[in-house]
Amino acid sequence: MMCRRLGAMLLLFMAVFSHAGAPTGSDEASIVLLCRGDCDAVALDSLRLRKLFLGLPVASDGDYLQAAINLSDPKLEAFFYQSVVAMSRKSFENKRLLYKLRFAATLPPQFYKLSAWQRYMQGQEAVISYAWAHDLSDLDAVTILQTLWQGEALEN
Amino acid sequence: MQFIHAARGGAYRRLITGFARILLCMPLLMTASAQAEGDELAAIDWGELTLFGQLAHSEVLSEAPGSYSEKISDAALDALYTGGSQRFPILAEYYYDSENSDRNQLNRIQFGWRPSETSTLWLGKFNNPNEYWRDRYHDGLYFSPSVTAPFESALFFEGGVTASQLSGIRFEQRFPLADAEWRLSLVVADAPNVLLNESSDVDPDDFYTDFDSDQLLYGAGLSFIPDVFSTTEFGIRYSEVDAPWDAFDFTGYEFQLEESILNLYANVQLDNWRILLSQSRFKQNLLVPSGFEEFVATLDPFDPNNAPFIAASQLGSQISGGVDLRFLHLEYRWNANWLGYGRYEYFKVDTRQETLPVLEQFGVDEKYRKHILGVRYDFDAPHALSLQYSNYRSTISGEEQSMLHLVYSFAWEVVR
Repeated sequence: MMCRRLGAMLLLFMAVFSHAGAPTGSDEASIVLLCRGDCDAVALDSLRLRKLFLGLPVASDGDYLQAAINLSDPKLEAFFYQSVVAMSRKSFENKRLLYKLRFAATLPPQFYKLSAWQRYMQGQEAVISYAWAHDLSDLDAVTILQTLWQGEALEN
Repeated sequence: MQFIHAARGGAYRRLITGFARILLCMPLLMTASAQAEGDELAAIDWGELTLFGQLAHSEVLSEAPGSYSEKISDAALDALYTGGSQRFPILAEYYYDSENSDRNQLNRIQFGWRPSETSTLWLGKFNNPNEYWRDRYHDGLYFSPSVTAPFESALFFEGGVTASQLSGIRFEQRFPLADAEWRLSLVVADAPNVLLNESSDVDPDDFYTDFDSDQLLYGAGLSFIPDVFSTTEFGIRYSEVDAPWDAFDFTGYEFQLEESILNLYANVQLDNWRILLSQSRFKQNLLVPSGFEEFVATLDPFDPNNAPFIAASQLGSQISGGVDLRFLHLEYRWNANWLGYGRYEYFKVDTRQETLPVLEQFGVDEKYRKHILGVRYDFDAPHALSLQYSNYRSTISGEEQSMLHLVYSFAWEVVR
């Protein structure tokens, strides 16, 4: 099961990051998990990260964490389903609808435009999200929690 | 006394329904303003409104006269509002049925408090957690793996421990254990009305009235989930009520009712297979007050409406009964779109022979084995088309009853 999941992820990365464009040289790009705002003592393992992005309650130091889903480009979208919540888009949609029905779970806001995502992130006291590292320059008070993926930069 | 109960119940329902309408309208109004002001407001959490619905066409292939039959209305819609915050979640759900106006009601209205991410205290009206299927799969519609819930041919009354929804307090506690989780659920609720099904020839309002509203129902459930993101779950649920019962209150006699239900279940996902096993034991004790027999002697024995009273008076000081309910539900998913399922249901009433004619009067078979076969096609969007065949032989008429249902179901997020 684990091998199959790893295999699927590998294939996805090959499809998304190898065939989408030509590398620009030695520049490296990365997708990072970040917290903007007051982010003291935020610790998230993969299980809690999945819960957070499915709208289930995840608390840190007594406060409930807020999240934002960044779907501002197709690669980030594919990365989100495959690596952050580790399920297909259809499974994700079904799962969060079911959680809404059973537990009143509220889906984190989704953003399809980078500018809208940045405005939202900047306006929150504390919020967890993920993004290309090079898209963070317009945000202040950003804490990088971990690097989720790192590889050669691609032309868009 | 009966009038006071009815009046109080009516005012309560109107208050709750009015409040729910306001809640359900809020997201629509907010959406309009959000759209007017552009993307900036799109990120604000206005709450979410989701519709779950179904359209059905049913064919009776063969009928068992006198038996209570499963029935799916032509159209049903469930409007779900979720809002509030992670610490104080709010949920409201209104159910509309095109053919059965008794089902048009506020199914749930829950105000939650989460002191921690593993604890939730709900206040309001919620699904009865002692029925795993209903608690897990809602009211059928889009998320139910089959078109009908188990034992739809058997549930001749609703209320007491078998009520679909309860009003009171529900506490849920999770105990995470790596990827696994234990879940504990405790319920203290207002004991709901016990009603006979409308399919009987007797109007339940004639002689069945509410429990006294200060009587409580207690319930508890414990389950184990090996992987919190999978559907596999093993659990046990129990609930009971012990209350004065005003069913025959116009006679001036007060009955005492003891009801309990114990449910063991396992819902196991194994690759493309899913196996759901459930075993329930429903017990009921009705304590007949002294003097009731003399009262019944004054009733017309040839009036069928008096049959339950006459039977009750002949059964001594305590009427005990039970029902065994078990089912095995199997599913196989060929791919993301196609799902096949089958279910075997076993229902048996455990009571004195003298009581069986009374049950038959209400369309209740003493025993039956029901078989269900179905296939479901899930579209890429949250829509599905299901075809289901069911068959069982009635002990009342000895005839077979077969049904065919074609159901289109959907989930639609109106406001998100």
